[in-house]
Amino acid sequence: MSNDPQVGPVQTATAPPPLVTKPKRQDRPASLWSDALYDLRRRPMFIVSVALIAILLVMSLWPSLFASIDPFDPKTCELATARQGPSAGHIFGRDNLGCDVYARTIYGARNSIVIGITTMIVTAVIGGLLGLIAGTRGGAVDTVSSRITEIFFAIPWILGSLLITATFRDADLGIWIVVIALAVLSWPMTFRIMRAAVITARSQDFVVAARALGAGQGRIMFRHLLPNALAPVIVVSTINLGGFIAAEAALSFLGVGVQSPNISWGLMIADARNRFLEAPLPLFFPALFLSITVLAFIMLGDAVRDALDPKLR
Amino acid sequence: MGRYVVRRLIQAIPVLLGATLFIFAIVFALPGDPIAALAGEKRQDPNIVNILREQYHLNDPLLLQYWYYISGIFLRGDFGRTFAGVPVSELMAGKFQITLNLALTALVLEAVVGILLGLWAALRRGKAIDTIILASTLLLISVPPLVTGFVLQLWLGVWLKQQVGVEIFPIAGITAGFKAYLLPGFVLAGSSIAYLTRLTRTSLVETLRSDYIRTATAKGLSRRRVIGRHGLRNALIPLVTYLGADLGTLMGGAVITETIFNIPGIGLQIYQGVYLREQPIVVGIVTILVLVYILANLVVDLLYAVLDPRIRYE
Amino acid sequence: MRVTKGAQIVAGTALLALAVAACGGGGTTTSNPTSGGGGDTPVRMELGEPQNLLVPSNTTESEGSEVLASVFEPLVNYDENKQVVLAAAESIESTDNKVWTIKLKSGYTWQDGTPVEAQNYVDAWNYAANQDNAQGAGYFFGRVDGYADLNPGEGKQVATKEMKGLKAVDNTTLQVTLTAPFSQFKTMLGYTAFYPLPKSAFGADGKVTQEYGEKPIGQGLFKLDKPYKKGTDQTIDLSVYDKYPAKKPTGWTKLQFKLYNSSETAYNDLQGDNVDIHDSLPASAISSAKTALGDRYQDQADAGVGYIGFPLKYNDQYKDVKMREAISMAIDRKTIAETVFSGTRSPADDFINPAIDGYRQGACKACQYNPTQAKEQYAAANGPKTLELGYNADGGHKEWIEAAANNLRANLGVEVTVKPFEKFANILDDLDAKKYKGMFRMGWAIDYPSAENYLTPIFSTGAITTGSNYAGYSSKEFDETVAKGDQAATPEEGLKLYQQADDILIKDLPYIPVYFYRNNSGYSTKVKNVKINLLNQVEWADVEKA
Repeated sequence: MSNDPQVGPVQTATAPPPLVTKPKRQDRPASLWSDALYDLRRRPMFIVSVALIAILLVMSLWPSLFASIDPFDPKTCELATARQGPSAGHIFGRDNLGCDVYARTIYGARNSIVIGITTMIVTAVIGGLLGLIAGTRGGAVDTVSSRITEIFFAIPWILGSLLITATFRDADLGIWIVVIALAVLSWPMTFRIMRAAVITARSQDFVVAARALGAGQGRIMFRHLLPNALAPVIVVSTINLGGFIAAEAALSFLGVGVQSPNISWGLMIADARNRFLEAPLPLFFPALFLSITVLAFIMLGDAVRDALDPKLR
Repeated sequence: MGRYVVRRLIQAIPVLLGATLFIFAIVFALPGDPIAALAGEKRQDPNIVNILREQYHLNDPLLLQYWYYISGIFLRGDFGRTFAGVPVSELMAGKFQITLNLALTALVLEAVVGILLGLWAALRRGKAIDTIILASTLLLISVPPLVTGFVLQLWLGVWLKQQVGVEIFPIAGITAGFKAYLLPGFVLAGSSIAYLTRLTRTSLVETLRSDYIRTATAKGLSRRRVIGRHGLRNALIPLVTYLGADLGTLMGGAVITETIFNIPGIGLQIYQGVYLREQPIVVGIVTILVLVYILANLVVDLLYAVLDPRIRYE
Repeated sequence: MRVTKGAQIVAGTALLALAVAACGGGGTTTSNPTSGGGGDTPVRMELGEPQNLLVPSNTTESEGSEVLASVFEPLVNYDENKQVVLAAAESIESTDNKVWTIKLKSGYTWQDGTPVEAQNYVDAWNYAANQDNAQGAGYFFGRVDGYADLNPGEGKQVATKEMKGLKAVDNTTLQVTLTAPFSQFKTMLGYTAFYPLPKSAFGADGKVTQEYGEKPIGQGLFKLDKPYKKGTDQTIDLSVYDKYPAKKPTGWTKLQFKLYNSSETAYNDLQGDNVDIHDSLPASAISSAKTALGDRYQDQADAGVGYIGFPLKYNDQYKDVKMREAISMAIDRKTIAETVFSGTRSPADDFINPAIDGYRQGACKACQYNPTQAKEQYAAANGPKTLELGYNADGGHKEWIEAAANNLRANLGVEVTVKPFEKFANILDDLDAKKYKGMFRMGWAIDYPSAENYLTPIFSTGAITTGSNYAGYSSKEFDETVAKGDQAATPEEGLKLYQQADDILIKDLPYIPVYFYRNNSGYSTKVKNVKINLLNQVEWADVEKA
């Protein structure tokens, strides 16, 4: 994420122009995307991560398939049984209020996934679009927008989102405030990558040729530059997705993210924290699910990067 | 070189002003009244509230407040006072030292572990150990500090203590001195270690592929000499710059780690500052972190010039 | 009210106890001299960071008070039977409960060598009461004649610097005139706000200086070795003041407060003998403390009370007392005290706390858990289908509020929305602004150890505007009964009347008492005979090295 300025973005951005990938198999069009897909399907890391993500998606869409207890029903909590260990019917045990940890953990997937994916889309679209414009136009537009991104880069990421969520906590934006806070501070990352990729592509022969043929600004931008700059943005967005999920948990843990009675792994960790040394399980299970989810998305991002960016192999 | 430094410093001014104004505006908009927050659970006397509000310019418009604040810092070196009457600079000095200790511990752990692992993986590229190291970096990146923090507390803090009977890794606070920073330092360094490992590996692999290494090998130099003298030296450049830039990131990212381990540094302080709406503290800390970030990046760029003879600034 | 350690106990974590506990960290780590029985190794006590500089009139929270209590000698103290005993005062007398004459004991000197005079009290109290000085404990002087002159209101000029009811008759005699008779005045005088200040505390502008706030000079048992730099220092070091005329500790002379930002961390240190006294053990440590510390673990009543309040003046839905009783009976106080608080609270059954004279066990019948009757009564009273329960998220209240909400949901069959507010003050603001109309949590830690303190400031009609009567409860009968108690000739007679007023509250239930605080403390193997008094302060002179 933010502490990955050199490794991910910069190197992907300076990757050789994708169109020059060597034609691999006879009769197949030498498209970056079909090559990548072919390549991906043979990677165990990709298959495992896609399988995990599929399970998580189902879990967040239909949690009742996995858990028979509805964690939003107060009658399922029994205070007197607080912090009891695993038992039949409560395989992850009970939390501090005597509620079922397993059901809460399952239902916690939804917010993580929704917040992670929405934030990714918002940052990719906003950062990508602005980067595309800045990279294509150049000049004053580029200078001003680049300076603005520097401002956001200079603000410590987690502290910035902490401030934003804390400020707008009373605005009744629900979980969307988390999306806003993360997006406000993350779009510059996508911006930079898109801009760098566009600038690289801009001087390529085919773009120069298109321009010479009298293609309009918009056509060059979307027909020629965008497709060729998309790969690094997709790679970084996928990797960032894991980071956004971890960030949501961190903000909820700090008490400014998802709010009770809504369920979030970060919130569960925060709630279990006081009695952690006495009863570690109510903290352990949401932590485990959180780690697996982040891992799944980062694995996917890694696999996608390797496939789209052969240089790093 | 001198002109380059000056130009970079001038460029940093709008960034600094922009970032602090952004933070100031957000903190200014934080809900709740800072003076009321001081009262705890008692409804405060409106007289007292108003007198304090006047004292801290809280009744003035945002931009004017910002002006009082920012001019205080740059013209008089005055970061203001907390609502409890303590000068912010005094308060911050101690807290920064603690977070700096933590970040430096993390940085040393990161450098040692990251470079060694990366080196090992690069030299055994394609072998089993390479795969294992790469897989562990994936784990390190994926498991958030929120999780590693608690797991290590339980495992290395509590369990290990029960096994051996002595406390090796304190799990909270800094009263135990240096060793209190080890666990939180590792947690803070977590993903950075992984990135550095990968960076070292990639960088070294690329360097070893380059022409001059091939030349050196062809000249008949020993493998140890080729790697040590030619390979490593050039591969180190991106690592040093990465480490340099990472110090700022580590300091700014310490809030979760400090919260888990109860380290009374700036992360914990800023978190409390947000709750108490202590604008002077929050903005003061972020201002300094922004400065650290800008300076670190400048130093890194200059370091590049020193380390890599191919780069020159006019 | 005073922000109590209660909040710190529950909070435990750094997240919550912001108002009371924030650790000052120094750049250097403190050295832990290994105690070896020598007279010069300090007795070390756990402390959260004081909220403000160490000025008595601006200290209303437990941590700063703990430090100041070791530096100053109060006029009165409280013994093990909850009774007032004289300390720095030779006598405190009144014939009409209105004009009080306080004679000072001789022998007390300021730690800079100057003698303590009655005028020092007058100066300190006038300073505290003056609105221009914005002192947090100014309200303690609200009963003194002339307080109104020093508090003319927002934006208005304060015409005088003195309360007319306050006089130094001679060097050792102080005369205090109250606006109305108040039989409990003597019990108030042990509090931090009533400490005197030396002349040297005041700067040229007549305000207490920052230097003084960093290194207060008192007339008590200990003096500070060096100024305390708030936010950076991790310890506050003190030594016994040679010329202290009363009982001094035997076998040791140095006291060190170690600042922690988490009571869990401090508990760890206690087990490792790295700190000697910990007086706010967190709930998570209780079960471990009982076995690990054995008889070095102490559990005693603490004067605080936790309530759920009804928005009587804001919301007619809560008008029916039968419905309020039903809500009260639906809450399983015992299980909450045992599981959520692990015994750091006890179930409440009166409006007066067991730590204070006047408590009657089981007085509040509707405070007993009775889900069946609760459900019937709630249905009969036609209570609303949805309830709201607000709490302040900064004090570690979330768990018990959630637990109580679950009780209401399950036992009354209603929807309960739990609403966190940033600060307690935000609940009050939203109630006033009619943005929030639900129930709210409320806590009370006493200002002085009298049954009266659980009544007037929270439930009197006058307290709606000037005190903490956030429910807006108003009962003529209650007001009159309390007033009679204030004017009673003897404290015993007063107490009877206060108990009658308490009965009115139990009948009307403007708030429902949920729990009483407990004080859970522990000490290391290096000290013994640690006693904690009614104000949660350690009786230092009794502490011995083991």
